Amino acid sequence: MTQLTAERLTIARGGRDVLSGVDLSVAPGEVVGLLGPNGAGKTSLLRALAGIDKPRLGRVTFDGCPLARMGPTARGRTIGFLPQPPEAAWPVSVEDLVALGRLPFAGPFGRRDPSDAATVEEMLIACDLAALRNRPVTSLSAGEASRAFLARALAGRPRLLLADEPTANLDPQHQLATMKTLRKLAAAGATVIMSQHDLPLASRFCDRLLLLGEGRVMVQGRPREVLTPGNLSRLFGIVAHYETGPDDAFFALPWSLVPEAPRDDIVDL
Amino acid sequence: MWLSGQIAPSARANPKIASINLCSDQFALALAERGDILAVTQLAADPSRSAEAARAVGLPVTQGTAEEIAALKPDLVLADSFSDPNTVVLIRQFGIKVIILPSPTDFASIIATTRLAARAIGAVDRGESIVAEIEGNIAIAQDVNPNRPVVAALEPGGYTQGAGTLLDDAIARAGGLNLARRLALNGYRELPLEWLVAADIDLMIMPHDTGRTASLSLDALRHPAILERFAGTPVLALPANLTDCPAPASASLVPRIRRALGALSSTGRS
Amino acid sequence: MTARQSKMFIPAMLGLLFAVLMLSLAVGAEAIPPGRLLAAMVGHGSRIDSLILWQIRVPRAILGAAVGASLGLAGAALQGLMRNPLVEPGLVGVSGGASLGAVIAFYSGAVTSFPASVPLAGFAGALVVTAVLAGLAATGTRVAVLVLFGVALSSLTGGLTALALNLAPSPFAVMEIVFWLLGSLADRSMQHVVLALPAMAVGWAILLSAGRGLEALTLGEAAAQSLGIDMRRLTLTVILGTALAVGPAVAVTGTIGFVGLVVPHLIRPWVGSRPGSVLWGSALGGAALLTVADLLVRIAPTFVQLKVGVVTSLIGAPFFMLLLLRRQGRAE
Repeated sequence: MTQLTAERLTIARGGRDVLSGVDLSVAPGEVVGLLGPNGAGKTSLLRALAGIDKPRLGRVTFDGCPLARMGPTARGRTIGFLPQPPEAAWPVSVEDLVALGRLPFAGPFGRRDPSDAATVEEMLIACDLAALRNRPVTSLSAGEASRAFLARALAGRPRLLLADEPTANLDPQHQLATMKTLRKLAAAGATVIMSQHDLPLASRFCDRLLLLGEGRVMVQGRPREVLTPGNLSRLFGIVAHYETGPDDAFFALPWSLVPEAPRDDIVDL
Repeated sequence: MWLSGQIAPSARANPKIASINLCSDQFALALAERGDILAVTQLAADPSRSAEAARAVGLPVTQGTAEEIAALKPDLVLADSFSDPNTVVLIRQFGIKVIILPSPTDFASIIATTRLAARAIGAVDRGESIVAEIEGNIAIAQDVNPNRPVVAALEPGGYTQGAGTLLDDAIARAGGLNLARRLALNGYRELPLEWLVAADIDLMIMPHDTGRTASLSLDALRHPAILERFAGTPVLALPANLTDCPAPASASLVPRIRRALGALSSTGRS
Repeated sequence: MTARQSKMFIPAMLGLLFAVLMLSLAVGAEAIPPGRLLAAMVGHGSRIDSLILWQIRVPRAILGAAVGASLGLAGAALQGLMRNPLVEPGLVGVSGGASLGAVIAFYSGAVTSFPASVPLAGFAGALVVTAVLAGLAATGTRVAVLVLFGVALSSLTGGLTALALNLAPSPFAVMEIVFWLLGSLADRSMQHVVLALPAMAVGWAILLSAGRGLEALTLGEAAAQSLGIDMRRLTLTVILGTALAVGPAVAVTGTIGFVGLVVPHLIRPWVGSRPGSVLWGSALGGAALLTVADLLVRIAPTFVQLKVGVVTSLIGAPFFMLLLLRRQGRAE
């Protein structure tokens, strides 16, 4: 039972096609990671899936309803989008920032539901921000700010969360906490799609990975199946070291750069 | 070259004259023979600005620059105290005599300037007859009302002609009391709208305005508070050409105001 | 700033505004003691006191508050849209465009046959400039460049206004440039209020409706769009609202600068910098600030009454310089 589908998606930017022919099917509860070198189109794909940019070709459907047909408010209540780098134009307090996530649910004259305060509180605690609630978000460290922006995205209780590099600039503790939070969100029935540069995190916490390159989705599947030496060499020009951690978790570690080696054995599914 | 009546009469009987300022134009046109006037300014023939416009029609005009004047080779140039001093210096460097007429602020000084200009032009007799005419007009009447009617002289932009101005002198001679004097306003000054509205006025003097040109300054005179407060107050519209340049023609201000004040006592004061 | 303090802020601003408005009615060239003033307010005053109060002071007070509100509100909205605290209608030429339009309509004589042509032309002039700036902003121009472009527009419109005044048939036009470029509330009448206020009020409503979008915009365009905000609609709302709020205001008072820059900056710390609250606060704060500036103009013992734009510039320009230096310091 799929929740999000993208059919033959072609996304253009500045008159040029960045990605073409993207087919994607994600079920509720899945965490999907987008991997690829800079400029591969990860952000563009996330924006198209969020309904921010219209694709040149193809369409995106969520829960059977085409995204283009969903009104902005409906989209705002369903989808959460976390851009990279997250920015705050004004020194609002962390609490006010997180409360912005409830905007799509506000009434016509900005009337807020009493339950909004409870939701905000929950997110502040979940992201370890309670002590920082009154601090201006512009005065926080990069890591603290990242958590605040994530809490904002979570405050909307999105059924689809699209996050652009959510663990960038975070210390190890908060990287792990963030990934755990995203997995919890998925476990509650949401769909989570994130772009990721960190191979170990991607391989450990994503159910499925899409490798983007050469203007298309080169391969998608489970991390174990997709992070082959051939794919990593072709996509990133690196060689990885593979491990299996506790509870049978597979992960790949970037190990060295590829010398000019000929490319063979591409595994395509 | 300053004036205090010490200037010697011109050597030639009829010097050729050029005037480089609208106000000095008035004296030139009133005193000199038409044939002796080489040039006046462009505004001299505009009846809305110049009282002597009729005499100026057909005369050559300049923009008052030193080059134009030098080309004309006049014997004498008349300027006034508001003329560009640089222009005056340049003209003198060409060896041309320039007389700067002081801007009169009342009728006594109009008379003095008339005599001054007359001596310089060599038209002393003409000057005296003009002075006699002025004195006839401005003579204070015998039957002046001891309760002088209050006159408000309003200028565009909410200004007034306060104590020491020509209009102030004219009002006094006509038997009126200038509101500005009562409010202790000297010279050409802003008259606060609230003071105007709070005052009791018998006659309003306003600039003569065709009402066709849009201007904020003229709008100021049509403020609803003024219109409502002074709805029944008589208004005397004076042409600007009598007050802009204090000159012999300005003497007609006094009889005009006197007539307006006279009409008041017949209709009763408001 | 706690949530409870923030809640008290708007009522406090209303109280402040009321107080300065009352003060404004009590001050004038003609000294009217409070007793007589109150009598005139309730309709039992002398004919002259009532005339002075209702025809001279009340229109001035209303216009001062309304124009101040427009400028403060438009400043807050422009800053929210462009996500930068350095823009305001005077600085970036919106007021300049409005005054150019108004001058052309007024001195061409259109005003005699159709008085509403002046605020209408003011609206049109403001609209053109705001649209150009918003268009530039939409193409991703850096804000520093945008502000400079606005300053250039301001100079251009100022020069064209001077030219129009030179070509005007009225002999007084050239001197009246002081009014158009510096702004004044002096001796405005109820006619001016009636001419400008309706359009300004519509502009306020439109700008205040942008509060939600501007709040979301705190997070940047992408996140705001994901929260359901239509960026094009928001931009058009701010453009239209600014033109309606500022255009007719400038048409009746000339260009009054810096209010839209100073007020949002003063308001922000009191409302936690939330763009929506800054809108309301800046409307009230702008009204209060301009009323106070006009009070200073009337109290100052100068020979000729100062133009209120002089006071706002004397306060606003150093303020702007300080703002720039502090931002510079923070960036380093």
